[in-house]
Amino acid sequence: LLVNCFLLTFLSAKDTSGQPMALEEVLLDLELRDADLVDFFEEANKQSPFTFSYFEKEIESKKIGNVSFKETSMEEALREVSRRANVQFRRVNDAIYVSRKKSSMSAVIDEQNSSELQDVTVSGQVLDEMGEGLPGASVLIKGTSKGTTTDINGQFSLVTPEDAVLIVSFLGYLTQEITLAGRSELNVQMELNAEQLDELVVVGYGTQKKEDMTGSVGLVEGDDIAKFPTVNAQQAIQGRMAGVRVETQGGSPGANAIVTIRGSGTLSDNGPLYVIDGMLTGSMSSLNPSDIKSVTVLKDASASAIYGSRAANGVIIVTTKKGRSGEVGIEIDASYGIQKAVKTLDWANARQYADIRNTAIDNDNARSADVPGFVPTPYSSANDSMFDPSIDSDIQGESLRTAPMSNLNMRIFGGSDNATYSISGNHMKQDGIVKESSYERFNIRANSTFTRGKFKFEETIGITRTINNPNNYFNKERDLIPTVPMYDADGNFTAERTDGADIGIGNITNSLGLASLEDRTVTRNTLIGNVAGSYEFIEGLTYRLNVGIEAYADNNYTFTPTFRFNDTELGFKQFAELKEQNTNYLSSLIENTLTYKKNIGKSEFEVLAGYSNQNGNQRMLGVVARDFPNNEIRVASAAADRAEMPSYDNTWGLISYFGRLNYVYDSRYMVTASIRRDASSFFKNHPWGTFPSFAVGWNLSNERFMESVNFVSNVKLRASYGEIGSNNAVPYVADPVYNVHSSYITGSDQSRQPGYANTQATNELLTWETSVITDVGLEFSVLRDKLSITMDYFNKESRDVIADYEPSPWTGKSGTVKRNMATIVNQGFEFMANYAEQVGDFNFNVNANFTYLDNEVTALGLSGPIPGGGYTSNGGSASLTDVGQPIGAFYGLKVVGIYQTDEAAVADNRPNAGAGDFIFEDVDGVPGITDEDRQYLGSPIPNFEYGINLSADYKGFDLTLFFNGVSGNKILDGTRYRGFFDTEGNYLAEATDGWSPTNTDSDLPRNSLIDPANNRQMSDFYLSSGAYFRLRNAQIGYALPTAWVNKLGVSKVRIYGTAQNLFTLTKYTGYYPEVGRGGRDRNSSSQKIFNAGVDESAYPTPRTFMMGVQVSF
Amino acid sequence: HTACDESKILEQTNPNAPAASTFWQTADDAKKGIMGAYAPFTDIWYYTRFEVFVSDYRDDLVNGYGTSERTAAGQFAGVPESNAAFWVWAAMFKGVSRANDVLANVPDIDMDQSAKDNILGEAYFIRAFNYFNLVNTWLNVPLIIVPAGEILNTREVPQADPAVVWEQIEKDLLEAQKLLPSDWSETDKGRVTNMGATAMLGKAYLYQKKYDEAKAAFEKILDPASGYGLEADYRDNFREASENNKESLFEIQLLADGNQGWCADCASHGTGAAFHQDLAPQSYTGQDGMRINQWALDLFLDETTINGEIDPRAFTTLFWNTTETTTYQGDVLQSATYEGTSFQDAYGATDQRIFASKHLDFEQGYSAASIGWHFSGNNLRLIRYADILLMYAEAEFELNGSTQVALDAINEVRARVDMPAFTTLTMQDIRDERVKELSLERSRYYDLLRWGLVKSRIADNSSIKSESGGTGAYQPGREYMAIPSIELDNSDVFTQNPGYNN
Repeated sequence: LLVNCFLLTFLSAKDTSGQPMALEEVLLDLELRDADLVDFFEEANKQSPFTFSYFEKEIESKKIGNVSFKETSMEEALREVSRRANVQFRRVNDAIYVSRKKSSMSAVIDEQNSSELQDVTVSGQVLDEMGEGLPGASVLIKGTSKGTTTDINGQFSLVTPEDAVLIVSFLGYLTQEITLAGRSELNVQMELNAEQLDELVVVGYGTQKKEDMTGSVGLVEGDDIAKFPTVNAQQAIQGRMAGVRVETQGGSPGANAIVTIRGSGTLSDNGPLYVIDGMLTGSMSSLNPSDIKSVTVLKDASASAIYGSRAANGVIIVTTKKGRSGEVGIEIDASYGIQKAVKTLDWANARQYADIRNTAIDNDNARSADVPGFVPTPYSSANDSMFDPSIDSDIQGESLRTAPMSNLNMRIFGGSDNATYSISGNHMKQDGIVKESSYERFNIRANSTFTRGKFKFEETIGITRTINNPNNYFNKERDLIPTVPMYDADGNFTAERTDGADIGIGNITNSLGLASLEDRTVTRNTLIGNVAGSYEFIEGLTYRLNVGIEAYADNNYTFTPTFRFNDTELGFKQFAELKEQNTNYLSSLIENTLTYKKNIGKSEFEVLAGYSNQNGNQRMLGVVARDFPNNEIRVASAAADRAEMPSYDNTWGLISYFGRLNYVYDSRYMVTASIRRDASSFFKNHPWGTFPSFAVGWNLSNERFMESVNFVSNVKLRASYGEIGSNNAVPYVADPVYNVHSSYITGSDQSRQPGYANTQATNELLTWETSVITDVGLEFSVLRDKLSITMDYFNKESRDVIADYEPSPWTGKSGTVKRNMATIVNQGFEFMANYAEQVGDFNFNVNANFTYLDNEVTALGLSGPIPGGGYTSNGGSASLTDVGQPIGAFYGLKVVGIYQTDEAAVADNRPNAGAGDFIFEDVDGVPGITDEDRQYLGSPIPNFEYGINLSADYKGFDLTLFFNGVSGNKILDGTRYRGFFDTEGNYLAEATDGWSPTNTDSDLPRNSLIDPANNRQMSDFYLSSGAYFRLRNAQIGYALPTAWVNKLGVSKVRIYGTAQNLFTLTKYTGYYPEVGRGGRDRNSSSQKIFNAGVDESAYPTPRTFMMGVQVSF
Repeated sequence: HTACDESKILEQTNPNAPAASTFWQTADDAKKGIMGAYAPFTDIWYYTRFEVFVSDYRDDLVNGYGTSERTAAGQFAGVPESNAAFWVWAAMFKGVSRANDVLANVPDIDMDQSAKDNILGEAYFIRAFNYFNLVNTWLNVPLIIVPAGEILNTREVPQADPAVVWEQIEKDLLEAQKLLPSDWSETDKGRVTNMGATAMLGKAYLYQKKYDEAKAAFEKILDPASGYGLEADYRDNFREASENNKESLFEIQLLADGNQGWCADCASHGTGAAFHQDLAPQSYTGQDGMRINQWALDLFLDETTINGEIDPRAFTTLFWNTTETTTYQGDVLQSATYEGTSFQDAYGATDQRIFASKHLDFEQGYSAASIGWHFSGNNLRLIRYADILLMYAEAEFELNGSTQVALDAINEVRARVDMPAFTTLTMQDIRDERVKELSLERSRYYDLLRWGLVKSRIADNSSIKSESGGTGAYQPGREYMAIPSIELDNSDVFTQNPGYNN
């Protein structure tokens, strides 16, 4: 919220009646050291009847140094002060008005007006729009400079000529003129002046008055973000506004989040465009959340089309905190906390594990008993004769821990009228609740602005270093089973029974051992920033040049030493292996914009025209090296086998022309039209795309007919239509090249000859994805503006969506080719409400939002249904994206019961099934279970998402509770596959409750190793409701009384405690219902979007408790 | 900002590989391009492995184990979705596509004319060779003779009349014959020669029953001036030490250099033979494998050498339960496989199954077929002089009956392996001789097909495929493979081959 702020300050509201005295008659006797003007006024006011009146802005921090007046007349004192502070004084009756010195005038003008008419004393109260006293309002006698201000209760009292006209004014309210007409008492009801409240919202290439906006935007203030110690800026906007979905990718330290605005309109993982202080980029993960001043999300075409070909998935504009004129401010915020797993899974212990295996073998033997010559399978000795009760490995328990987390922020800011600055530093360190995982971030951000006349210069720069150490082994397939020890006698990791017992499994590893032995870091050093200069040629016409840069250097390093847990394929590594990749990225942006603002009568115009270009280059060099002299040498050059050297060099460029017209008539009718033309190097033959948008708004509350309507205010209707694009491709995608590895052999010596071939299919016709968005919105306030509501309906049809397509093999090309094929429709309704209330010293605010969303693929073109969502390495897809369904919809059989007899299964034409196996719903009418019996089982995309933010403060205490939730979605719990069916890992303890002739009312199938009935195939057995409601954040803070802290030379000290995920209501069976887009990549394009809602070993989300202190100087 | 700046930003060329637009400038480019056109022959999907599933695995010798989608075509149960069919098809079209690129681009390169002619000749040959395989395997295939990029609407490209495909094959081979050299330098050995093209041309004529033209083509090769002739030792056709010998008219050049990647056209792609897994005797292979039907052994054993011993070619071709031996070229031949293991040692005294031996390279020291992929560098001979002699005899027989010309040709082949000369010929003699000489050399199925014998020899004789469920899936038309489903999905005009539409 930006308020154009100037305050006319009277030093005090006091009775100004009484006989005026001449300036010479008043004597001062004061001594001040290193004083400024205000100090002088305070002292002079005490010793005289005069009130000093001034615009704070005009005289702020005017120093006058040491002054010493002994029996000095007021006039003389004022002259001296005038000389020192370059101000002038004008005395009218008891008021002395202070202003900046204009050379033509004398320093002190004494205008003692004696009134001709008889003076009367008028008293009264000024009331705000809610009928409460308005303190600090100005009450002036028209035609004079005489007046007063209201006290804390809005009361005033004034001596005035009996026929006077009073001018009552207060910032943000309409100024009123009241004719006394002999009254000596009056109450003045003030009305809000919305125009003056000018809430400015950051939009593309500028700001706009919120009142005049025609587009749909979402806004989060930095204060709300900084409040909670979120690691990632994306997570910080989760639940804060309607229409914005943030999918956290599990609870791993530093885990990224995928942001989807108004539903996925793409068949890729392409996210929104981020504009960070004017630099266009693909992510905001390098930002320190505390540095954010505001986040604006442009949701509809009217708001986002100005970003053209990159806006179809929405635009997120991030503005970082800037300095301000005034004293140097210092803010420190330090917090420390601990994290714990919200939940642990109930895995089988050794005895339960052995029982499940043995039962499974019994069941399998019984099934085949009547086959001639059948030899029953014996138990594995480790589960039977050699069961060792002293071995009971709990890999989950050993892997999880209570982990610390710390965050330190410092910011220094300040400036003068002509220059401001802000410099901040951050260090964040989070250890994972799974051992051997951690994340650390260092940030420095600096920005400043300089103004000289019509010239303005600003720059911002952010430097970030992140060090990520992920544990990718926790909770995976083929991990340690409880009947195998985890540590050997020396305390080293193992996965082997030394007693030679048959454990019944061919291939197991030790995930914690692996994570512990492996050495890995993903380090990224990022620099992002911009410099901009603007010049106002003539009034309203401003040219701006913005040059932005983003650079990062990645080092992705993994070293796996030789180790031996056992002799299976996964259990040992003969040769140490190093995988290391270095990537350098540089993107630069040049933007030229010209804006012209002009008001003609009641019409306000703003025209923007711009040209920009941006390019980026990414160059990678990597190495895969094996066989090192020893495990301590971890540099590629020492390896005996430098096996691979993956590398690439990619460059892209984008050129854009854009323009926008905003027109507002009489604050009632608004029109916005924008157009952008982009050309991208991705699309060789169709580089240019044009993206228009048009929007209208009608501010009903400013219509005459609404004047008498009191219950509702600020009513605005808006509608927009536009087309925006997505350059959802990669460099050279339309650029045929020759493969250099198509060698053949010739010669008596049979050697490889270099051969080149055009092997990869390219689609030279590839072009933009286009989203056509229609939006209708309604905004209004009720209850005297305490409650404000915004509602939007939107329809987003994304056309020419790029999907991977396998070309006809007769073309001789291989691989997939990107084509503009699919159509996806997202429709939804968004609701946001804010309620603010103040009762005495108690303030509270409730902010709530919800989104209803319907995502549907309406055409797929050539590619056909797209399978995805692998939940095990043993094959099987959980999702199928097809026409008429949401993206990534779950697809499989439906379990309708458990066979109680073998005969029942035979009767269903399922010869391989029997008692204890799943009954699958047979929907195709063909006897038996076929592929045609698979059906859609639910969507991974919630159709309803909501967030509620409650904040309250009372005196020094403050409390914030932030809830959010989703519903309507399903989650696939991969642990249910592993826990019941996978024969190469531990079972869930629940598997002991599998169906058996003596346990016939179980929902779980009988234990089996061979699973002849294929109970394991994709079905709704793995699906849970994905709905949750949680207390995402709770914070309680206390600001120490100012009087105390001032003694310490500090202006503010606040201590606080925060809890994240204090409670979560969910029916989800896995660790936590925030699973992101997990799963294995089963489809050729490897797009995670088809794996949404698939929890295949997602990192558990922790519960976090933190304590912190904020100090401001 | 000028237009010049804009083009600099927008016109990004891929620096990771040579751009198509800047390739085809020099003689070196032309050579790299033609090598790229040969390259698919060594794809795992083609002659280093998968081709065997559409050729020999479908014939009447091979009785494949299991019912994998790879062996399915062998029992007429191949389906349009089958990867095996699709992969081989795709690899063949890769060769076609790259040959088309060469033919479209090399003529404009400023280079030595004869070098240019040779390369164009190779491209014509490669295109014709692949189309020969395609039309004989799938019958109804699209005829693509321009670079793929020039075809704008791929959905409208039709399948060609097989007669038109044959016409193109002849035309291309005639061009190749004209443009190719009679020999290559030492470093270029293995590239196709004009006699290689002539051999394919004769074969193409023979397949179309154009016996006069076939005979005329073969005569050019039989002319001693061609430089081609039989190797003295039959076994030299299957030895790495005697690659690119005077008997070989076209062979796939294979190299086992440690690369085992299945990825075609990648740096680590294997170029050694990998079909051993599919030909190896049971328990020596990690794959389903196969056995040989009894009639084939019986055919070998029907007659003896002039010394009263088993045809030496039987020991090269088969591995079976026998203690008999043949002395050939001073060596004592016996039935043995990897590590010299006798059949009895491998399977016991009573097992009467017959397995393949040809192409297994156990003489080269390979110890087992299950050690990995692409481990044999022994070239795969696809047309050799003995085949020319037999095809020549067949053409002559079809034209003139059992003439001396036909007898001389077939007897030359028999004499090399100490088999007695024929004095009169029947068509069955020629067919049987082809089995003995050429079995497992990827031509038997296509011989049956051109003779119209697939149904009577295989489909009506279920025991031929007894190890994988018989031939019940046969329907008229299934002599040819199913058109891969992806081609049908991607086309508005393709139709499935007869016999596959339910």
